[in-house]
Amino acid sequence: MPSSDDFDWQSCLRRVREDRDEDAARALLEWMHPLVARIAHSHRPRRTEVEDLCQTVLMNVFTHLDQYEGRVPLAHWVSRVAVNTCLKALRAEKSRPEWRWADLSEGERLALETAEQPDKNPDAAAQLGSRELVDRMLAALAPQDRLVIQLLHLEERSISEICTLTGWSTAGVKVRAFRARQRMRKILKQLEKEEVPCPKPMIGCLAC
Amino acid sequence: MSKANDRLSRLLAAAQVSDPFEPTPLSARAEAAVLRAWRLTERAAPVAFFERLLRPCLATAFAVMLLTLGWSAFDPSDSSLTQSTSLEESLTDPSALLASDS
Repeated sequence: MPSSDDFDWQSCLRRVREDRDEDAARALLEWMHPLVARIAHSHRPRRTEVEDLCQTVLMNVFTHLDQYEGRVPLAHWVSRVAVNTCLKALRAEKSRPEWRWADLSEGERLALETAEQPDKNPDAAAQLGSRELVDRMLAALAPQDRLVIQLLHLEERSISEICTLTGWSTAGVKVRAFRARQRMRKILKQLEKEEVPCPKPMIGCLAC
Repeated sequence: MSKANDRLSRLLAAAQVSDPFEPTPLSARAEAAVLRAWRLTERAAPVAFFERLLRPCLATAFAVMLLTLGWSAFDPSDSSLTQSTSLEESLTDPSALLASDS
């Protein structure tokens, strides 16, 4: 498999488009796959396998190769196709699961407890728990909100990069990110309420 | 900044560093499916040619034909032709010219 830096995608693309060279198509496919797999892994719906989503993205890329105009590097164009395909898959996912304190795993609870203490650095278990917890919270968000949080906060992409990837405006990205964070805060507050045990259980408390 | 916001920021920061995903190579099944789809786009090329070039040309030609037909049906030169014919008739028949003068 060619490394991503050495790979001459321009000549490979030319052979694919002009000569319909199948070996070149295979090489291009192998080169694109890790990039597409990472995006598919980050933005896939809960019940979708990375492999299946990768296949859908790559099919979209290869059947629309004639639409690539060469204004941006091919990797950028492929990333954009991948992000939009993932967004479409997320939109198709109907249910937005709700969950409670009791549903959290030990790791996720540990992550929450660690995050409450500003001076405490998370250990490996808390980091893993944080990832699981954030994934859970993201699954409860709308697809576009989920995408913007993933790109901005988890992948640490710049606003301009997100604009390029999604086609949204700068203001649109900022507003969407703000609203998504508000929703995540709301989820955390709900969890916080559930975490504190009710002081008067079983005596007609409406909250119980 | 609220407590929840701080907690959210710390959670997101902790979640950044712990994604150990390494992509596995593309399976032969997926590769074959993608290449099959790509090959099918080749077959669709004549259709694309028709969609992009031939159809607009045919539509333009049809529109030009309709315009020509419409123009010939309502051509003002027809009435002038009729007028000139009656003038010719009156010139060849002087009695008709005299009758019109009187």
